[in-house]
Amino acid sequence: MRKKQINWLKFRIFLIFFLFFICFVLILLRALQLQIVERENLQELAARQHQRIIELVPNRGTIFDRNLSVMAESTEIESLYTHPRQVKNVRQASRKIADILGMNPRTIERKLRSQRPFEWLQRKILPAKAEKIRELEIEGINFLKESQRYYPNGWLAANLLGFVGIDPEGLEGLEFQHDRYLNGHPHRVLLGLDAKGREIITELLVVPTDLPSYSVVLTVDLNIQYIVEKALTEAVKKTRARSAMALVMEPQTGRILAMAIRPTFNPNMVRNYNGDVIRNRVITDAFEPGSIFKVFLLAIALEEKVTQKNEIFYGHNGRYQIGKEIIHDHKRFGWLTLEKIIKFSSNIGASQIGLRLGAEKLDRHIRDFGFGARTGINLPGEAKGIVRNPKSLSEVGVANTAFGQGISVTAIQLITALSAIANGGNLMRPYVVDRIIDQSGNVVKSFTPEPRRRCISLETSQEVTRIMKAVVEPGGTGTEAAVPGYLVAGKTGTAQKIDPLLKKYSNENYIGSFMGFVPADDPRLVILVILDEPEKTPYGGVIAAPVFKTIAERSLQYLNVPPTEVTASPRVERSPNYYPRTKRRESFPPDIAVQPDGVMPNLLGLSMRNALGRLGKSNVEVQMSGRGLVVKQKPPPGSRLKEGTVCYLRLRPPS
Amino acid sequence: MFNLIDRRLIDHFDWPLVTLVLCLTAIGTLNLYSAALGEEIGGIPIYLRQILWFSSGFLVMVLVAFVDYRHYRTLAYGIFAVSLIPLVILLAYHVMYGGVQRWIRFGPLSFQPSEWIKICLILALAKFFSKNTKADGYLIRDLIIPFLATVVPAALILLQPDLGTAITLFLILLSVLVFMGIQMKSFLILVMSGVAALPLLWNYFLKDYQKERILVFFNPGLDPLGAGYHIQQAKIAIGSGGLAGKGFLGGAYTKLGFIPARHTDFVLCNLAEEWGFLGLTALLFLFLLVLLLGLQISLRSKDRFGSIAAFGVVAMIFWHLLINVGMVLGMMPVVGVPLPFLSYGGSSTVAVMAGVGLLLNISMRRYIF
Repeated sequence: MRKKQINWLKFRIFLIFFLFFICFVLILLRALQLQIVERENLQELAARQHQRIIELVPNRGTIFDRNLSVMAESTEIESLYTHPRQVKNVRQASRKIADILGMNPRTIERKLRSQRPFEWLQRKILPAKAEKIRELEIEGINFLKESQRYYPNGWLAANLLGFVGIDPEGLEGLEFQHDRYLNGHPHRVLLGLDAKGREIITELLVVPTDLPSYSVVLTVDLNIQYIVEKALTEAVKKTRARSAMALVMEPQTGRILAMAIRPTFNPNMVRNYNGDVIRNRVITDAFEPGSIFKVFLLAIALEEKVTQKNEIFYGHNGRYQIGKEIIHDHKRFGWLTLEKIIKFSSNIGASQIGLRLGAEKLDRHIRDFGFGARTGINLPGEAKGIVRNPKSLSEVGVANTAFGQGISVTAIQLITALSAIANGGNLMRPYVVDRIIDQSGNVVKSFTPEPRRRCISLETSQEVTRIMKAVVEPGGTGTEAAVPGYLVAGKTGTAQKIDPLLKKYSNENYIGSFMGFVPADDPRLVILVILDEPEKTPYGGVIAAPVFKTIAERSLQYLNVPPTEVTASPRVERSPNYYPRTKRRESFPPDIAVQPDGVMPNLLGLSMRNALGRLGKSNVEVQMSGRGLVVKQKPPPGSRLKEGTVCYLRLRPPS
Repeated sequence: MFNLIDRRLIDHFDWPLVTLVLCLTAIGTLNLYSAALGEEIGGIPIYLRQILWFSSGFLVMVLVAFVDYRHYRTLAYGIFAVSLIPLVILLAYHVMYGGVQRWIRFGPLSFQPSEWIKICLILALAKFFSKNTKADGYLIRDLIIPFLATVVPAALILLQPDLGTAITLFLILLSVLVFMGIQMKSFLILVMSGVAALPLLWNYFLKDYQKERILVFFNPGLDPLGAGYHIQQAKIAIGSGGLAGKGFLGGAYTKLGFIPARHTDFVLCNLAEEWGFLGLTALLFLFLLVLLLGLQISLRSKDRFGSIAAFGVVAMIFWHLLINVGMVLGMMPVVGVPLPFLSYGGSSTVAVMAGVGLLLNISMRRYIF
């Protein structure tokens, strides 16, 4: 070949080699990127893919009351597992373990002989049993920490809180309704695994969850809840009612402050109870309200202006015939004013007003008050109740509806509707969850009062309130509900229950009830008390009104609500020894009867400076640990403080 | 005819190249032992089978090396024509039975004619270009015959369907053209017409899964569990190797079955996982040396045919390497091309060894003329 050509060839080959070289450099740069720069990332991905994941019972979020006291929390508990191949004397080991756990040795033995490298033996073992098994020191038998739901207050607000299953998924109540916030992502245990799913490595690696659960802060006040529960317990004991419930609501906002049911259950031992006890019957059960419903009839009548304030109705001497049916009153009334129809709870008076309104108007307003529809409280299983179609309603039917028969309502509907009267006419959406917070206390979601509609005018509400105050005044049916120092507006109810066998109203089974709000002219609390099938006297004014009084009195004191300036003091005669004040033996709840200055304030969630400021007035010694916000305090809020009492505060940084 | 005992041949035998190739086959065997640990085909462990292929390959290499390559020049077109026959047979099979076939069986042995066609095409192209020289570069009309010689087998292979091999054939042609000197205008026209043919290729030749792989390459998030799976898994395996790797037999990720075709097209994953960046660099360095020696042989060859043929073999190895490594590292779409010396496979191993034999042949006869 000619020299020139050779040189040209040389040049081209060199050029080509240079191109090759460039390509190699590019490849190496890429390898550098994957193997050095992105290495950690890819290594993690690699690890994640060839491991089997065993999920541990996740931590659920805490449920707090509105003062951040714990109502439900997750605690650590141990679960027993085995690496079967490591267990040497299988027979002996299974016998010993089965002994302690009270299980069949064969079940254990089968698991110990498993071909898999990991088997649960039993999850969530009592600490004492776990300790015994640990003392056996069997190789290949180990524990993993899981979590278990714990309700520190036992049955307190149990029906509201609900409970969780083993996983732990919320099964009832708030636990169910807010499961998606409360239920955390599980911590996971990683087992080596090949792509075909066979486990190959037996070392356990616990990977903490990357998505922790949220906590729920309720509108419920644990102290008021306790007041209500205690009052209800005593009332049930006294009246031997088959069941009972009580509700406390803040009328302006629709916040539920307390929700108690009897009989109830202990959510820590939920397996011992049946569904009837566990259900939140405040929400799920509708009943005939009876006379307390007349309050709404009154409001509707005033709103529709079908009657004048000073108009009088004839009482027909206790017997009033509509068509073939006869309506009775518990007394033979003569002429009654509007006020007295409510005050004495006259069915005949109410019937006449109802008939004057007519089926259509009555129905429209009843629905305006929220009856016959769900309140939207965001708890599971809410019932609508029954409001009958006005077109199919006979005259008697209309009359019955007017005094609360032939209609069924839930307790939550009743208290929500009464709140509308108390707050000047706004029907609020009741709610129990104030906010959802993350682990550092940051608000994830918050709920605000939500007015649904105006159902009566301000004037109507004021007039209804005036008449309801008369109920509690001397001569009314609800005198037992009077709270010394405060004006109370209320209404008693005594509803016959339908005998399920005879399909007619029973003369033995009643529902005695009382609902009202206090202080009447600037209501802070709306309270509803329902006692189902009391054994002795059935009258709401006798059995439910005193419960109302107890709840109202103690709660107002706890909330430091100043007493009303009572001009014409209704000094109320109380039936002697009927409802004696019990001694406060329990350390919980806070002693609310003491003077505000000598009382331990609630310091939870406050900064150190603010906490010290609050305590400054009291002459106490303060000891603190940690920094940040107060997360624990001793003594609890409301405790009496003496000079020289030592207060312990634990603080934690907010994040 | 057979100058087996010519002393000059022994004297000029290219020991460095043989040593390098032996190194690569040793690495390939060890890596395959690890990558396909415990896997067997027909009762014989894969690495043992590959040793068998390497041995046959060496035999073929020696045979190819010691037959004077001028005989190949004489027979080049004939060899090429004969090598087309099995492809046509496969096509006929495809037309008649509708199945897809890449292999032709002879009793217990089967071979992949598409691997052989590469070497045969190189010989044919070398003969064509050594006979038809153009001092100032080739024009399009000068290239009709080599173009047809490439298109016919490429189309047959594409129907198998084997996109990777079809592409390599074109890349070999293109490389030889650049090596021979083609007018820039003609080169551009070729490239442009190639680009223009892409939609045609896309619509009529590519199977859905091939299209998918290409789409996924340009948008990896498209289908992480489907077509993007291979790429993603390969990246994970390689990345988890880090700088120095997990050590021999330590490449759990590849071995646990996350890597598809881990002993064939994706065999590099195992090497990169076990030997890390350093191992990968060393391997690429060995390959670069092979290419360098090949280019040197091409440069030193005393005749045009030898020079072109040697370059053709270098181009073949280079493109296989580039496409395979690019695919495994996620730089290119997934097109199945084996990695020379490392991927398991009889036909491809023997074909590459035959190519090396051709290089040796040309190398040791550089002083004969």
